[in-house]
Amino acid sequence: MSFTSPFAASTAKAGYGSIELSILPPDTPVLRKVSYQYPLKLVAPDPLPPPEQKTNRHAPRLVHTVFLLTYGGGIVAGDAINLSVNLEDRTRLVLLTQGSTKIFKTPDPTLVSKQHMEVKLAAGAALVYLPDPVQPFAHTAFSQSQIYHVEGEKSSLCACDWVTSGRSARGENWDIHEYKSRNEVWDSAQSGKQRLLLRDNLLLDKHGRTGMQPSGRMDGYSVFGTLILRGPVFSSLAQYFMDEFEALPRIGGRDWGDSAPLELSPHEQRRAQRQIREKGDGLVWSAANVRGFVLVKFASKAVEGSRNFLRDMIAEEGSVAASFGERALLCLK
Amino acid sequence: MPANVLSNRDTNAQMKSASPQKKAEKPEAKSLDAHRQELASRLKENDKTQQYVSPSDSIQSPATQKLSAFRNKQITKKSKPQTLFKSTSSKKIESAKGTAMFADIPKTDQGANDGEVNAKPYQQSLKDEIADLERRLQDAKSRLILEDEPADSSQSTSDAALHALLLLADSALPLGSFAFSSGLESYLAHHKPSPPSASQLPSFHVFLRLSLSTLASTALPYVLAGYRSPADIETLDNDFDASTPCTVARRASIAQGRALLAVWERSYRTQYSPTATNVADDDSSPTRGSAAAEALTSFSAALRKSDLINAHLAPLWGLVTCVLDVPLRDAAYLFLFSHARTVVSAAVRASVMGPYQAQAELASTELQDRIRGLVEEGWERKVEDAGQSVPVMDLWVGRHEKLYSRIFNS
Repeated sequence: MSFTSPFAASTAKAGYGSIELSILPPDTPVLRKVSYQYPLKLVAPDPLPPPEQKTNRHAPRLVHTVFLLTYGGGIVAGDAINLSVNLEDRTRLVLLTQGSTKIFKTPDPTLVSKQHMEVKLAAGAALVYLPDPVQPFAHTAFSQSQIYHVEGEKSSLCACDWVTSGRSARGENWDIHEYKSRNEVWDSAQSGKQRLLLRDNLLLDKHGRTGMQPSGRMDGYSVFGTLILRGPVFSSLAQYFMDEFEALPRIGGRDWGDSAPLELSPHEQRRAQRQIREKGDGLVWSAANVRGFVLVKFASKAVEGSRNFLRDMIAEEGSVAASFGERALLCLK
Repeated sequence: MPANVLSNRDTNAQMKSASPQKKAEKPEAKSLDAHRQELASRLKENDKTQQYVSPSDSIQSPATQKLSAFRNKQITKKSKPQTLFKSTSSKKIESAKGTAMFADIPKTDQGANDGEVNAKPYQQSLKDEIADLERRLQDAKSRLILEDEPADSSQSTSDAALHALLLLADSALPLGSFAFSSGLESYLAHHKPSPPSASQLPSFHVFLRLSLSTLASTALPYVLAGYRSPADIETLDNDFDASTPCTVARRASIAQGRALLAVWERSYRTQYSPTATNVADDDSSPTRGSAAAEALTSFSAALRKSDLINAHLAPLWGLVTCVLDVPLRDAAYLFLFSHARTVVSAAVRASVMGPYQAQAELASTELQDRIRGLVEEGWERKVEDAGQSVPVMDLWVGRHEKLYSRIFNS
């Protein structure tokens, strides 16, 4: 007995997902589309109004949040995830994960798991992508790419990409076959030819003729990460990172005791405390202002060090929490 | 050689042995010049009467003396040391009477041997032919304003490439590289030896490996791409700039790239830039080198106008080596080697090692193998796949700005 489904055949492919955020006239942002297919899962809780709505007339009425999940909490060898995100003008989206993205071991180094995300940001749209770190277990091969298409100077982006050395409690220390992570930002404002604005490509594999294990190349660090900041919404955060980098104590400098201990402002006290903690966590970081971006690179001996650093910096500055709500920092808690 | 063919000769010089040697030198030459030489030497062979009268004619080494004795079938005679003016005074002066004496001009045909009568019309015809050929040569030359022989230039291509390679291998290049340690200084500041007196050499070795690996994964693809597709230089420059997420590294790369461009403009361009006539007259399509030279010229012109162009070292290195016609593999090797040399020389100035040790580092087969391996490994890597293989390197280089005291710019 044949059975004909009354529903249209699904066109979604395995691992594919799509998020579209639009404006319902006059000014209500709505998720026009949230679709996903196994092994990818998207969860969109109710949108919340941003805290700054009372003070800033231009703030959108609602900020949406979407959690990126995978069944089983990780990516199995051979999985391919493909997510496209489209943000219209005057919309704000927070992309989060629930726990680190685990990469499970592959039977064959050539079998590479993949995750690809393509984000289109209209001028005036803003995205916060502050996920938990990727955690590739021993003997894994993983390659991910995050491609952002922005329109001119007005698209705002705050994206973090960080990776850990594996299950350090089990003694794993970069025992991976291969890990690649690519972040690209393209300017599609000019019609026709796209222009590459930023490419941050991390390649951890057997190449390089160093004659060292991957762990040897890492100089004892267990976490590496990049934070990309761009656009008007994050300009104050970007400036904050630059200022704090400028205020870092000089490496190899000495305290001769001739600078009298001044009365520290609350901000300076917090800074001093954070710097002490950074030292304890073995965290090093640098910030660079290039091509309209502020790029923050950081590394630490343990995951908590980097997490503390990001949370402290972003929370102290406060503009992300004001524009997107406390939820945006969920993965850094 | 061509200039000597018709000029005066020493009597000691052996005509018959000289001409086959000349043939061996240029067996394939097909130009008019070569024909003329050939005819002239044959004419010379006929002209056996050519003699010079000089008091020193009979000064010969014993071996030559013996050989000439053989040739003159005077072997039966016992060879004795001759007195200085003996033969001259006794025989030659006699025969040379009436012609210019003690002068280095060849005798005329009148005092010639018995072959003279037959040879003379033949010589005349040869001379006519030479005159005709010379006229045609002049004619051809005036029509073709070009270098002498294409055969010659193809022969010396590898020499030209070697010459260009040596030019680029100058320790002053990349210009101003002495000011950059490519992160070494910062690395050493982050890795203080536990007793301060301990040697930093082991950690330097680690750094050199990591630094070469980083350069091969980030910059080498752009060198190869700059060489292979000169027309894309502006895109390559932009993409390399986008891929250099660090102010310090960016500054270093741009400073050296612009310096290389300046060296090209001020020093190499007159020599290597093809002239308009050359390209127009050539039957074949413009060569890779001339296309690259055009790309380079327009790039440096665009650099002055646009803010979006930076002139990074890696793609320009590829382009300049392409113009200078250096083989790509050598260009890539030299790029990595120059970097190693810069880092090692920075190590000398940072008191990590002495100058002799530095040379030993550079000479080591380990370094050779590493560079060769890296070139091999990156040979097929596309520009899009260039990336950082040593993430901590970005931090070392980026934190160079935070050093309390600095002797380098990166």
